[in-house]
Amino acid sequence: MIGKLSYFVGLQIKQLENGTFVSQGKYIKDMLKKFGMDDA
Amino acid sequence: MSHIEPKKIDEALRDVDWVNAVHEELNNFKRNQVWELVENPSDHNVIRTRWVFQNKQDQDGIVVRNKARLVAQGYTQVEGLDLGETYALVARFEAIRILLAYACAHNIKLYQMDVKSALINGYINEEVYVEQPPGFEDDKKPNHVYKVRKALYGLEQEPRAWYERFTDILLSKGFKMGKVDTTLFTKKIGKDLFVLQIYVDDIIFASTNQDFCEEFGNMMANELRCQ
Repeated sequence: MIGKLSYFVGLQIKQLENGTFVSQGKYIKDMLKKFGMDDA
Repeated sequence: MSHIEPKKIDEALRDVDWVNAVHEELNNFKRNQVWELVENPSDHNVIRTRWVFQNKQDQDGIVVRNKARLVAQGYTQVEGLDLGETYALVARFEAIRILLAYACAHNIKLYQMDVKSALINGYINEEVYVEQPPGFEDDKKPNHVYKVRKALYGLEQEPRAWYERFTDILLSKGFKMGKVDTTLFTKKIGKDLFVLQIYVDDIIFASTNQDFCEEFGNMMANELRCQ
């Protein structure tokens, strides 16, 4: 039931020793797909 | 695996992958005794149901699952209900970013909790009826409706019931609810701090003392199992 934070409401999150990385790669891909621009 | 997401049930039923997905959902309902077929009650509002078809993807966008979900059209439930009170509270995006920044600055590890099963396993107190799912009406009893015993996706009382249940547990364990952001909960234990943020059924938390995170996880698993 509990795990390291990796994906939360559209944010991909990676916590490393030297900092925290936040990205929205998956969200962007979904958006592009939604508007039919995924192969543009 | 199908790569299209049908809009309507008749469209879905032309594809074997989606037929399987639909049956999987209906079998789930049967197994979990979500509802029972009863005569149409004249004194009750009957809520419509709708199929939602969604392809689940992994982080690289590869379709890993065709998921059919039967949802109740809860918005037809308005009669006598105060809508402003029925929505689940969600955290603001900024609040989540602040929590991330805070965790980063204090060098603490964030955890997340998955409570999806807890959400649909909840019994509902009110008498709720829904129409038979489109495409799966009973030949012999076409006018019968389903009486719902467990929370269905889309019912107005479902997310709120969950939020209340969850906050009750937190408050009883000495957590303080944020005065401005009521989806933020904090607890001070000696010099250590524990923070938790709710986004419907997504929960993230962190503590300056890692032991508390583990303890919290066990405590929650316990509390939610014995409902």
